[in-house]
Amino acid sequence: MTRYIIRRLLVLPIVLVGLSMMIFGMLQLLDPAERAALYVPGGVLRTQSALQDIIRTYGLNKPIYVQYINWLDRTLHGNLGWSVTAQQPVLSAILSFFPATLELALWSFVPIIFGGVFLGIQAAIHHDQWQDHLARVFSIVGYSFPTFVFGLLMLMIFYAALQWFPPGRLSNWATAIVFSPEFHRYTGMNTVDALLNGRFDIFADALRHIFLPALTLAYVQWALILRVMRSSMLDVISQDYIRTARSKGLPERHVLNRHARPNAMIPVATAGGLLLVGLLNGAVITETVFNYHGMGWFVGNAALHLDAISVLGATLFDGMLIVIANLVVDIMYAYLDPRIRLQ
Amino acid sequence: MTKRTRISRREFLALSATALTGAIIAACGPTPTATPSAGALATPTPTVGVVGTPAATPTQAAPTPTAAPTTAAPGTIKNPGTFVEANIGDVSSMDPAWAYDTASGEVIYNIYETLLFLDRDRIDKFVPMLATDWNISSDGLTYTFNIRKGVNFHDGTPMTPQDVAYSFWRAMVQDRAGGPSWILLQPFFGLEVQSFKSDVVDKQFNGNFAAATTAVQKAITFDNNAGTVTMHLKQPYGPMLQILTGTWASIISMPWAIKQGDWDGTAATAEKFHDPQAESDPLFKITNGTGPYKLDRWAPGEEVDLVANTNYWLMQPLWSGGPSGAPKLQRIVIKYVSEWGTRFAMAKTGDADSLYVDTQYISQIDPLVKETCSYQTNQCQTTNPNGQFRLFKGLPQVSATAIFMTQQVNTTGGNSALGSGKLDGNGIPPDFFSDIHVRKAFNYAFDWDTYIKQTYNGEAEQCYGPIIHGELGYDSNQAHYTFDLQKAASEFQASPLKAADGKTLWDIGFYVQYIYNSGNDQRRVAGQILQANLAKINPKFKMAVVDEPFPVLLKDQTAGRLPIYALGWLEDFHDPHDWVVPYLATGGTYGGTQGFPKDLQTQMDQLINQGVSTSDPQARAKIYAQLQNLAYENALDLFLVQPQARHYEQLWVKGWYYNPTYGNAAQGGYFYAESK
Repeated sequence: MTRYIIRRLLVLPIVLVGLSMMIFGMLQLLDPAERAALYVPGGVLRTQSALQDIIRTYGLNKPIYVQYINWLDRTLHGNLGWSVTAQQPVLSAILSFFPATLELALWSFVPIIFGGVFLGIQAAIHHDQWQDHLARVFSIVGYSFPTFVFGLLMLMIFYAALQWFPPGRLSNWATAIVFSPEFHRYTGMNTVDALLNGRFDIFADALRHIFLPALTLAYVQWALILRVMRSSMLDVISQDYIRTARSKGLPERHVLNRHARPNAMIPVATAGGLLLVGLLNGAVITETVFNYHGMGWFVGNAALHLDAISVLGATLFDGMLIVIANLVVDIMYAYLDPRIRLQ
Repeated sequence: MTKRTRISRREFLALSATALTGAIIAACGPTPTATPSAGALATPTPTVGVVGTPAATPTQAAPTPTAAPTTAAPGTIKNPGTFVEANIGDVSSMDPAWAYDTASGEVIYNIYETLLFLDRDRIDKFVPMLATDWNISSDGLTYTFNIRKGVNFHDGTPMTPQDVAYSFWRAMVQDRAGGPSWILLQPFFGLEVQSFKSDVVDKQFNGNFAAATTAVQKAITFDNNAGTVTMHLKQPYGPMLQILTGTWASIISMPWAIKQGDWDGTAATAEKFHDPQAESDPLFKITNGTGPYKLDRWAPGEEVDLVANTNYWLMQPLWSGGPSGAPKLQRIVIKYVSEWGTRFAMAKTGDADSLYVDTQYISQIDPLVKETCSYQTNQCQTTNPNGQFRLFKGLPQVSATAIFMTQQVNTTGGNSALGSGKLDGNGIPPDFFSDIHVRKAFNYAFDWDTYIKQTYNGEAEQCYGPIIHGELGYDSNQAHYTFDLQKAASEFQASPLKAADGKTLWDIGFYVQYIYNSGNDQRRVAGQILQANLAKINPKFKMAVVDEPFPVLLKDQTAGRLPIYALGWLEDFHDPHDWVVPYLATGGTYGGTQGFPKDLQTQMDQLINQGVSTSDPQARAKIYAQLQNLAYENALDLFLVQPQARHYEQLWVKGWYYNPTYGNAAQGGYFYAESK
């Protein structure tokens, strides 16, 4: 197992270098003048010489390999460059936006998995009964709902009308406290930090803000887990060993929980792993609708403005997450099914 | 005994339920609100009222709260003492010498101050701010400013004439690529200067950076004992006082800047601090001004928080009825919210005191407007007694859009915008727009009325030339083009352009691509109007409306590859010089790539130099009127519109006024004058 993990981790730098070369190469297809547009204030060149000055200052006309080597050199020294769209170093942007996304991912992932698994099991054991139909309709509606429509709908009902759950991450009063010297930001996740600081009012405020984006993400993703769990469960409960367990007189609950569910969870682990990576990469639309500034908002904004350095940095980070998440999923396979051996 | 680490499903469900309950309890919790004073509640009930003067209507009753729970309850001020603005965009830098955009300008205007300021909403009248008064020599070459005493920076250190001089030196020497420093450099080093390094250091001082820096220091001198700063100009410069009100002319503390690792003010070290990238600029995210607000927090992309400077120096109003003393608003929060639905919801709940409204969403917010006011008189009319917002409309912006016609198109490497590149019915030759008849015909073929109605909701004004309404040299009686398809047809028929087989332009027709930046619907509609009208004149006149991503358009425009394209201009400082240079001058952002005829170009350049070097406003007005007329007579461009903005605010906001030169003037402006 350890050798397997080390071997997989050794692949990581190769993947990241390959990824960076690919993205760097693609971005270089743009003319230096096109890439210089990022630095043009207000979208209008104020003087004719400004464009050439910008190209010179940012070294946009240097040969591609020189630009790549410069970037790689900086990166190896822990400097991923400067994000013009986030107005801070790329690494610092990732470190400041990722906790927000991680927090949102955790608050939505837990309900997605538990809700999806629960509904999937219910749908499977009540195959073709009203519970099955209801669960499927519920999830398919969510899956088919465009995220921005559902998000805006939630916002209009629960914020504009009821004023229960506001957008953003914190209220103004809470922001002032959280960013004051007295409040320690251990993780960057407001709900966690609030508890660690013993500020339950801030915890409540943070929860109030994260509720709608988490719900939006959860609702649109439930269908995936539900359907995977349902089909996997249907497959498992028709197996001979389940029939044997039942014929031995084991209680149905025991059969389902101890014999069927663990085996049916393997595809869910795969889907869940990918889902979590997707959530950690940021939910561009959800974060934009709820003015929740996380990785999705950051990367989406960077891509819109051709902020190559930010896109590159964020992609490397995402690549790293994907490799690690795949590794975790592989390890989980072995945990869920002892017959699987990692080599 | 084994330690139990797993949680059961029941336990998880119980925890989830607790969290959910917590969220709902939190959601139903109180939001900080306050009941306003009687004055604040005194919203005028007659159909006409005056914004910001509640004391004038003491008999008026407080508005009746509406039953609708969808909006903030009238009469209840949400977040008292804190002003929240929901806007788009973000600050690019807190350094006044680096920043060059409206979002940064809005913040910097409230933190830093300049020697002189604009008189409230006037854009052509100045009041002393950090200077108590000034003197201009008779030859217009020397400006002497008496610097105000008793002004402290936010860190408590007193402001000195040396700080003032240093601020200007630093701004000129720093000159970051694409930044605002050229505005300060031109009066001192010549009208042709666009860059300190290439136009001053290299051309005027043979590459000797230290010598050029010394020249900067000689151009602006200070005398701490006399309390003066003197500016020695290279030539008289008409807009000099105007440029001293810009954010680039903000005064910073020299000792503080040095302490932060910035330039020490000596010529020998100056080069090291030239053209910094944002991240290497020591003043990128910290501030220390003399203004009414201090920077509390800048979360890039999210928000900027300002707190009141309780030791603010201003005790006498800068203008009659203006603010003085400590700021009334304790906290300013500018939130950057790109999604309209979210901004709208924030305004409806009262969480935003003012917001940016895209033109296409006006119809959503207008039904919630209670009073519509005039920015000039502050007179209001009640439009919906149950509404919750106040609207100021028809605010003239200091920006304009035009359709530019390139008279000599660059065809290096081929150019698909020209079609076949020949006059054969499937393209145009590169010099197609050098024919004045064609340019006039395009002007006559444009329907301004329809355009303004369709795309600006009727809230824009036709431009008669490069100089916009309100500027020196603008004449509302100036001859201008109007929509006339018959005249357009006559001009096309009068064109001497001929195809290779001798057919006329009218007989053979043409194909050309009109380019605009992707996502800009107003410029797209302008193209479509022109396209439809050209086809009406003659079905053989084909113009494709093509969008290009902004970076591609920028590259093609600067290379002179676009035969006809739409772009705009937002003025740097309020003076016609800032309009005629980009549109008409050799080296101008647009005019520089359009290939105007040499004689005309020479004439325009001479007039531009004459205009900016003249001090007498009346003489200047005549020169700029001449330039405006030249642009018309030669139909150099198709000057589209000067748009008008809107300002939406909660009814509890008081004191806002419109000065278009402020950054984000239509949303925030000068918070010192505002209260809730």
